[in-house]
Amino acid sequence: MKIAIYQLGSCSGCIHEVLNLGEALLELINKKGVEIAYSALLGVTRESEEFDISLVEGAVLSEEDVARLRNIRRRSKILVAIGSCAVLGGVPGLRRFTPEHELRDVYDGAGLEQRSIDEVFPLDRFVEVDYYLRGCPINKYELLSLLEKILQGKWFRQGERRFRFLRERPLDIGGVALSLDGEKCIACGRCVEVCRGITSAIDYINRSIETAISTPFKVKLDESSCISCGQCTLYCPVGALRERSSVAEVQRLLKHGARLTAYVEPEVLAALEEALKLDGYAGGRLVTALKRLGFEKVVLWAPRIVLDEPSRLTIVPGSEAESLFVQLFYPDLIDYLVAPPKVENHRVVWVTPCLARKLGESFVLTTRELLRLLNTMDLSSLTETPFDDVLLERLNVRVIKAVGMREVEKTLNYIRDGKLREGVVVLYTCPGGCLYGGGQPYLKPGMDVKRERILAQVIKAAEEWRGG
Amino acid sequence: MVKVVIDGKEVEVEPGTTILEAAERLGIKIPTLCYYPGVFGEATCRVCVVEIVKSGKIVPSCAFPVSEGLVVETDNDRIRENRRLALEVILAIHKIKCQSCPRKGGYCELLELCREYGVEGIPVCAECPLHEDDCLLVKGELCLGPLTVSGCGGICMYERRVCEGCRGPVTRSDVIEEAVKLYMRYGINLDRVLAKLGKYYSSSPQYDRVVKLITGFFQGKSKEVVDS
Repeated sequence: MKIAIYQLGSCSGCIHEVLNLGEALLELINKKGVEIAYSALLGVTRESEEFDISLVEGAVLSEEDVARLRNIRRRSKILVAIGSCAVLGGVPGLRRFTPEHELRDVYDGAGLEQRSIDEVFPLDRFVEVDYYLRGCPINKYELLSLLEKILQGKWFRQGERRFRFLRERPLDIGGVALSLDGEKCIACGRCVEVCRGITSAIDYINRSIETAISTPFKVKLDESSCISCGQCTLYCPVGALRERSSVAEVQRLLKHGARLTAYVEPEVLAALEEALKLDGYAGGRLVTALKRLGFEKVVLWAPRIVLDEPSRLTIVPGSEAESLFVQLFYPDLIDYLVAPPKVENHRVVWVTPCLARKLGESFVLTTRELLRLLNTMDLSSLTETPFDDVLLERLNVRVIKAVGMREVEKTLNYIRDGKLREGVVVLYTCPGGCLYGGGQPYLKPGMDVKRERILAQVIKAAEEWRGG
Repeated sequence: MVKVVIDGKEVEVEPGTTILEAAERLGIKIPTLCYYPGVFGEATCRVCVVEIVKSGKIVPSCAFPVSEGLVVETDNDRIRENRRLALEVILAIHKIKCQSCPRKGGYCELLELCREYGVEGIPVCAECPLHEDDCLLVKGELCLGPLTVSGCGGICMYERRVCEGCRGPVTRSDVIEEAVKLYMRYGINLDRVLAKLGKYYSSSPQYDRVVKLITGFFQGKSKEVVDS
């Protein structure tokens, strides 16, 4: 495969970016049979008769450029415009805003040999361009993936087309913890399928282009059977279903110097590593990052519930979601239900994997929001700071754990049927428990998730902290 | 067990397996949007379409069960064009509000697919790592992110610099309308936007259209009037 790199009116930045591919370029040349058949910058100046791919950088500025470009097109099977100048006219296009006499003042007498044309044009004004690579300079990875596609003989078309659909104004049925933006929803139905395994609060309504995801009779999520577990938000591919964000509020408070304490649950740490692509336990680095953002104290903790009468049959909800679930679907068992855990201190920001906690009175950030709060901060380069405190005892008694909707329902049915008369039952509706809670980072199919293992590391590190 | 041939490779699977699952067993990756392992009900998005060689039919691989002797192609020009069309239609009903989207900055599945199939129309905001109050627009800086074609990975924002618009403008009127709304909310006026807009594409044919749209939206005209 013969590749030529040409330059018209431009700064050669994009050609340098081609060279910046480095080893990837060498691999193309050595293993995939790519040959750079012409490039003035590389010193390959003998022009062949025909090229498979020509990469052309720069805008068309002069009549010589036009002739040269037409010549290149004739000899190339595929012509790729690389860089803003070739695609859009780029920086030389600014000539449009400069009066001619000013240009003459500067350039007359400079001995220019080319006959310049009145305006600056992108390549596709004169010849047919097969592919465009945008950017100033181009993104080298984009170039690499384009070359690979061409090598595999794959064809694709670029550009945007405008479709117009007449659509009734889509609905907004947001609740306190969750919001569903009908304008963004593409009705893919993942959320419907997820919710079928939980409480079936949402399903399709209408038909054809009017198809939407909604609660029955378009009531608000909080008035429906939704328990705000947030499992749907993990799977919504376009972010139409999402948590009500508190990130902006926290950012504002920190900016105004509020003295906030972060209570971080261990499950958050277990998911951070995979989301930020770190290696090893992230706890210490997270403390450094949060303190740098302005938090006064960072505490590793698990929400604690103290039971007065552990001998009596008690249902402990893991969060507001389970509490709501029992109230909605097992109202006869409310007597056994205790209140979900909460933090009453308003100076505490509770960082949790659970989205339903937003229903309570506590000030809550989910793991995903924590990641957004960290923004561009690179945790891997930070040093470690110990937690200010570690409080990890969840309960003062032995418990029966029910994890996932099937187990939760089974357990509650046992209680209802009188088969289970004593003990403490803790409910977690999310499949896989809090590690896979509704506020955890987004998953991709085939992703290597090691949250259980990292959670064990977190607990071990916490015990060591207490020992030392 | 039934034998099927996918992209020239033969595989034996149980009857009732879908083409997608059979391809997965062979290590062939078919792009999906509505399908997610374990969370899947109906074939709604049509991004995973493949071609049945014998009949030439294009079918969604996530819902089509295999049968004995089925020959399937998972990637050719016709399939790619169909996937592209599916993505364009999905993008048309998906209102682009990347600036406030929780999936921006590396989690947007739609963006990844659109990039693969050359569908443009999603602005740089979709790739921006800055969230909420850290967005440069909120600070009153003129960032061309909401108007510019994505694909760069938002590299400028990693250094907290504004987008200069080097990749050219998105010309969809709804995207521009949304961008103008943002500019107006954060006190950036028309003159400032126009002064910066021409830096990389003042000589391209899209420039005049974008200027016309932006000016119209700043003057409070409706989409129908501006885009006529």
